[in-house]
Amino acid sequence: MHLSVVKRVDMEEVDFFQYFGFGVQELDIQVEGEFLARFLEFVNVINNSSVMQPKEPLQLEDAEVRKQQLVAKEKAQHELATTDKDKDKGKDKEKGTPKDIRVSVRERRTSQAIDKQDEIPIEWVGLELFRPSAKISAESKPLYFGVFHLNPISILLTFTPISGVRSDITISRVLNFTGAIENAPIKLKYLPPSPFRSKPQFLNVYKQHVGIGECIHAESGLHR
Amino acid sequence: MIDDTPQELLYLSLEGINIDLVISDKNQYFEVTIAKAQADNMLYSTIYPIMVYPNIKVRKE
Repeated sequence: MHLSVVKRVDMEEVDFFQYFGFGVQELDIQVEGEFLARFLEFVNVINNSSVMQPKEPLQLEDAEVRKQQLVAKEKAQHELATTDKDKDKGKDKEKGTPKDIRVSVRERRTSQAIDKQDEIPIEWVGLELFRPSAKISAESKPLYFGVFHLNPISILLTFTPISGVRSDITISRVLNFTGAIENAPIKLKYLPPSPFRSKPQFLNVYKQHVGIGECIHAESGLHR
Repeated sequence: MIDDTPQELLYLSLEGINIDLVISDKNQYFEVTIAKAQADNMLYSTIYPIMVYPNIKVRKE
C-alpha cells in the first residue's frame, strides 16, 4: 500500500493538496456476516462511549483540575455546614442568598460524585474558569487537489451472510453501498480549476458537468 | 482488536512500514508505504480465518 501527499501549508482559506496519490496491491477480502455484525456493534459501542465522555478542560493539566475540584469540594462542604448550622439554630438566612445555596447543593452533589468515582462529568458550577467554550466551529475548509491519483485497485471481495443471525439495518446499508460503488458516476475532470471560487460558482460548474443539481444533496452517497 | 465482551475480533499485522514526512515553509510532504498487510479474523467459528491478505501472483516467464 502506498500513500503519497504533498500539501501546501501557506494556504489559509483551503486545504490545498498539490498531489494526492493512493495505490493498493491486489487484495483478497473474505468477510462473513457474523464478523461484520460484531465489528459494527463494537463501533457503535465506541461511538456511544465517546459521546458520553465529558468535555475535559483541555487547556489545563489533570493535576490542576483535581486541585480545583478539591477546593470546590471543601468550599461546598464548608458552605453546607454553615447552611445546616444556620438552619438548625433558626437564625436568619442572610448569609447565603438562594443562588448561593443552590450552588452549594450542586457542588455537594459534585463532590459526592468525586468521592464515588474519579472519572465523572464535571459540573461547572463554581469552576467557571474551566468551562469549555461554547463556540465550536462547524465549518471545515474546502479541499482542493491539484493531482488526485487513485491507482487501479483490484479487490476480490467474498462475503458470506449468516442467515437468521442478525439482519441489521446497518449491514444492509453497507452492502447496498458496496454494491452501488461499481455504478458510481464519479467524473472529476471538469471541476473548477481554482480552489478560490465561491460556493455558488462551484455549484454552477458542478451542475453543468453532472447535469442534475439535486444529486449533490442525495443521501445515497456516491450513486444517484 | 478486542471488543467490549471482551473477545478478540481482529489481528492486524503490517510489515515493511516506511513513513516519510518533510515539512518546509511552503509544502508538507507525507508518504507512507506498507509492504504487506494482513488481517486475521479471530472469531472461533469463522470460516475465513484470514480476512484480508495481498494476492501475490507469481509471473511465469
